[in-house]
Amino acid sequence: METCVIIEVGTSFTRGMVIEPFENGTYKILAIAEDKTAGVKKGEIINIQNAGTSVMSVIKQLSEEADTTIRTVNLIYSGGYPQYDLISGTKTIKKGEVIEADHIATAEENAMENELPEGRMLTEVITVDYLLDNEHFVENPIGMVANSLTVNRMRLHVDQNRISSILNILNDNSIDYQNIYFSGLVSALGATTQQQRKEGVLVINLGGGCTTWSLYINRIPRHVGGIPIGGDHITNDILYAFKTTNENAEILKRTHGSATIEPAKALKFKQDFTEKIISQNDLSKVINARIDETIRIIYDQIAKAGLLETINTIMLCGKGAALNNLETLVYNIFQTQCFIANPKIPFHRIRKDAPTMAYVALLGAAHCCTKEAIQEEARKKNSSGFFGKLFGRGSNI
Amino acid sequence: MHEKFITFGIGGCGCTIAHKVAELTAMKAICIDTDVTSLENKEADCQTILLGEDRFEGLGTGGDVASARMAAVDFKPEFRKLLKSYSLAIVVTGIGGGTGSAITPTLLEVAREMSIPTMTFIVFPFSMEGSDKNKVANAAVSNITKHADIYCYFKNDDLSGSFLTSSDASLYDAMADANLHIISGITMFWRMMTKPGYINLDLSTLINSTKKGRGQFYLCKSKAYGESRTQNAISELINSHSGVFDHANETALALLGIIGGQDLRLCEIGDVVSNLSLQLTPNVPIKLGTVIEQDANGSIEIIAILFKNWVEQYESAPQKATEPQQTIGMLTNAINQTQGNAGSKSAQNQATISSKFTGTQPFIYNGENLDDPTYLRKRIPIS
Repeated sequence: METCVIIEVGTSFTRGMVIEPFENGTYKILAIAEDKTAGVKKGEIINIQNAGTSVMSVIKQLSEEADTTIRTVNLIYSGGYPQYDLISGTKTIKKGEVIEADHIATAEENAMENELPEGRMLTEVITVDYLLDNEHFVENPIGMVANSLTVNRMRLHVDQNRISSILNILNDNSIDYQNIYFSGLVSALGATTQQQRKEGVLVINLGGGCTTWSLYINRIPRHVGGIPIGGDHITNDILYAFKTTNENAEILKRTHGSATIEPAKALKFKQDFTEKIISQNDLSKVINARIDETIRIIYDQIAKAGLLETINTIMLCGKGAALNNLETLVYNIFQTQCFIANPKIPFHRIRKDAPTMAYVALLGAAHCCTKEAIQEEARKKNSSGFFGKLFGRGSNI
Repeated sequence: MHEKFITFGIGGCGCTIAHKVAELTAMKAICIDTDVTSLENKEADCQTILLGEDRFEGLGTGGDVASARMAAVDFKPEFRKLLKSYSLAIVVTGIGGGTGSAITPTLLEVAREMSIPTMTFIVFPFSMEGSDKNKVANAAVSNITKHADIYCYFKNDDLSGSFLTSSDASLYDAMADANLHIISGITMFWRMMTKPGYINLDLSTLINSTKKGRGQFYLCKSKAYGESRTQNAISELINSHSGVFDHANETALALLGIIGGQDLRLCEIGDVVSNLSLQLTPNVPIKLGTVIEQDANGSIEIIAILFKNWVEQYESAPQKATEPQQTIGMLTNAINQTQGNAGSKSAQNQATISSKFTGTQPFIYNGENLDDPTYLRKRIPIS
């Protein structure tokens, strides 16, 4: 099968991966590349030239390492003001008929008749559940008898102007895009097992500019979200509190930062040829205030949707998940077991013990691309048959 | 501006009220019923739709909620077309029969899919109409509230008040009085937005309040004449037989409309606001609008709408937004284009504090600019 290229344009880093999907659902990583991102803040492109340089640098590295010419990429986004809404479409079933794939397809098409809000661009559509006669929810309606079939779908969309900036970078370099994935959703696929997604798992991806999350129950996403608050805000808070440089603030965060309040202890660092001393207790208070606020926003959103009780496990990923004691803080807020996702990456250039939480979205997108490639193969083989109709719809999330 | 909102009347009761609203105002109304007789003589003032004609032959549903639901589902694409050009839909429905109970949830569902905020007035049947009808009504409520943004219940028993106990009260008078209550509430918005009043309640305030006020709201009104009109109107409002002010402590936002003639005094407006504020929990925001009508000299009319679940934090962006409960939008909608709303000391220092994020849209949540350091906003002391 053809190789797939995945690019994640983050606020701090742009990362990419080339994979070779196999028919058994696995994939092989052929290349991984990373470069510091310039021209992006809070997930938004503010300087298209600088951002373009970062993206093309990663694509060039990938191209060289995988020894391939890259013409198409799959994009992961965390900014672009993602929103989702629930849409539904109904198909009336004639008397004497049982529900078939065609009925589902029509109901799904009817759901898509709902117009997108102005200025938004559709990225993903996920079928959430099926409703028979407006009353009974079923997992799979095929073969069932009902007067009407309603398909409820989750539709994700982003601000057209903002996503256009990234797409323009690709377009200017004669690169096409195949899929756009929301980092909150694909992170869950890279950070959790199918069993966890069945039992109810909340995955929080703490990036440099944005924090995204998704809640899977019975393997289906039931809640997704994203806010333009990330690790950069922690750095900015430290910078402002201790009147230091961005570089020092970043070092303080990484080496002495803690999500929970730490006891008083002197921390020394160099600034302007002099030695500056701050209290670790103060540093932790500044960081704790920010991260506690961020996690509580997520808690409130999920509570508002009435889904708190469905969370069995919380997985944290993204580079921000490396912050000390983050699991403790998240546990204290949600009162639910919490772990850092640190998946193994089978690739020679990644150390076996390397912190891989920053690659979780890429790994999740690799799952999606593999499924997509398998379905594409099936489509080619059965383009006119039943499976041809069955495949090619919906999302691989 | 009033052309941005529309009133839907569903079923016999809903159609009567929507028609009356259209008759009294220039608001557009659409009457939807399965019974052709209820739509008669309404075409002159509003659009009428006989729904499910192929199923019910224009004779009504006969209480068949399941068939009415199917007819409503078939009609979904038409609902979309009807709603398309409006920013707010007011839905009035009588429940207990087949039409209102089944069609209303479907209409609201479509409105939600289209991100059009809805304000629903639900009228319960008289308890004397039998337990079956009341059972259907109770089932309908859960379907309606699932899709409605904000909704208000009216029980015919409560609205008709004294008429029920008076032996010579006619059915016509009782029903007219009950309907008048709802009609006053709906027409208040139209009056506020189209008539001069010096203190304006604009359409965007109403739409935003609807978007943010998910859940139940209460509506009450009073009118008084003469020397002590203000005190009498306040007293009537607070002691209204519908018991709305029993819920005053649950109120998160009050919309207040005061309608008077050219003799309406500023101190009277002040009296109304201060007296009603005392009924509410401290710091509950009151949004006020006044209307001056030439033929209202000598009287004062107060209409209060109390929102139970209104949330200030979701400052909507100016464009149409998706409904809050389900979306990332609830957070991203909170992003306010203008920084002026931050309102705090930190907002004044914006340029310095969040300079790292200069050039990006500030993220406003709960009225705070979250780009500013949290420890400053939360006043966490550091040594």
